[in-house]
Amino acid sequence: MRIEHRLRDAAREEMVRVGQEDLRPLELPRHRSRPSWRRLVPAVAVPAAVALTLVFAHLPGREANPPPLSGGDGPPYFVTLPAGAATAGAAVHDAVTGRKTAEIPARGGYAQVAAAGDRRTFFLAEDEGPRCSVRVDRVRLAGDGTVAARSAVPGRFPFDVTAGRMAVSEDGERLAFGGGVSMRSVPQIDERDCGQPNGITVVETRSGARRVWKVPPNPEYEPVENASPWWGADGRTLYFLAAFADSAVEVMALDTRAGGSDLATAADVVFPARWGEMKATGLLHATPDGRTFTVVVCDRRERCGVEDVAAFTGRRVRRVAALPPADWTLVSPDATGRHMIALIAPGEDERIIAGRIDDGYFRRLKDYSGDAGAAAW
Amino acid sequence: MPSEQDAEGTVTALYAAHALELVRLALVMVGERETAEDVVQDAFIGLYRRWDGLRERGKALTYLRSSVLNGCRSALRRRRFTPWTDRPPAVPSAEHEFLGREDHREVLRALRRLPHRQRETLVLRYVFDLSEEEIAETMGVTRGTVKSNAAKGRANLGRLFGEEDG
Repeated sequence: MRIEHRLRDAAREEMVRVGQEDLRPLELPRHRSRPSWRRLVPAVAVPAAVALTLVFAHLPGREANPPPLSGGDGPPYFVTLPAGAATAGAAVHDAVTGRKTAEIPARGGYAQVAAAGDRRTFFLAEDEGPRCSVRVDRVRLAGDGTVAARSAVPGRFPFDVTAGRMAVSEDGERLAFGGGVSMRSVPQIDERDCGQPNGITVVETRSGARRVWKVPPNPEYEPVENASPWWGADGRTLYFLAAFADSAVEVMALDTRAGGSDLATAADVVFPARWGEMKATGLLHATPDGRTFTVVVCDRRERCGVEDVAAFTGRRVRRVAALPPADWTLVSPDATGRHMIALIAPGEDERIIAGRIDDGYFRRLKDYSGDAGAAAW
Repeated sequence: MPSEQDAEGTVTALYAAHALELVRLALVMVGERETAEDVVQDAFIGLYRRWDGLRERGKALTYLRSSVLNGCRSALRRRRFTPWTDRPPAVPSAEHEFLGREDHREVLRALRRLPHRQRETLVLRYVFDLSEEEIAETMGVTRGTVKSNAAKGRANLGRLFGEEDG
């Protein structure tokens, strides 16, 4: 059968799940603003631009104009992946200007990217399909931001690489894939469905050896989509976020050299990551001593910021940056956690603003253009 | 200039006439009913708020389709990179599961992995039977781009299943 016929059949089967009688009534706002298109455009665009500048630049104790970057400020390049693309490769960008320096073509389409601590080695994962066959490429950049070497991690791995996030240890020896980690869930795993195990997968990059920790089945299902794994400085402790059925969120630590495959018993709680209406929605970094964690914290209205949190007590000790109100924002730290790439989609159009946050200062990367959905450096 | 009631009545009528089609479009794109309905509600609210400035009101449906596609794109981005969600996952009905439509699920999963322009072009063309001209207008591209995206999308989707495009 031709592919368009298969698509039509599949989509129509999906569509009949909703009928006219299922639709909820339209809920229009009580008051309607009446600006014309001509007035609306600057009225929206200007405050958005101002907001981006103010939110990032006016952090406590910071001047509005950040000092110029020097050569030693953060990694020299970052790698982006296009949003949701199965057939596109990755792009390398200069981390000071945002200018594209190279392209990394993919066989299928890269879905995950992570950077090792040397700032030059990147791992890119893609599903070669058609059924759950993930390959991982290792790419080393030259000093000018072009691709110097490229090799494949041995083996193919059966999970949904589009879910969650991939992390690489600082020495580049180990990868971790974390889809949703719910400590009280029924993992709806179906190998044919490429189901991401409810747990953590670790892959040795030299041998391709794989190890999986799963959460044992439980009737309560708590859907989550990203465990935000982050490797500790020792290369064996893996930190991640886990959700519980009572809406609790915790940062947990897994000793990946210890025995067992039951994540619920193998991992220890580092700190609870919910503070009233606020909770951690992403784990960005852990200091080498494991005492301070950088997390994304959001409230119920999706107002978010990057904050440092003390281990054990879970006390929020410092706001690193407030994230602007935007349609979509991605923050990706380097290995030190001091430098972050921020990709921001301010509105409905496809335009992505790229910038970097260094010690609380936000700098826009003016020469960046692209429809990125992921980044690492 | 129309009254508040005119705008409300017109947009409500448009909702009655087209909401189902648009929710289904969003459902194919994002695979989750609640998100699909949210996206469509937002599109109609956006139309209502901008009604006075809409130059070609006869093209309200085109505006709504574009708005729904943008909303789906944002939802897919959030889903992929927002670590936590309070929303339940798409759970197939018992009947759906019973019928064992593994192939259909694979097709839709592959569709959602395509670049968004190819994905949207394929759905508008082959699922909703829109003309190239209508698709071009909805997506704000030329007819040539529609043709090119459809061809690439078909080829990529076919390749994901090891089929020749034919």
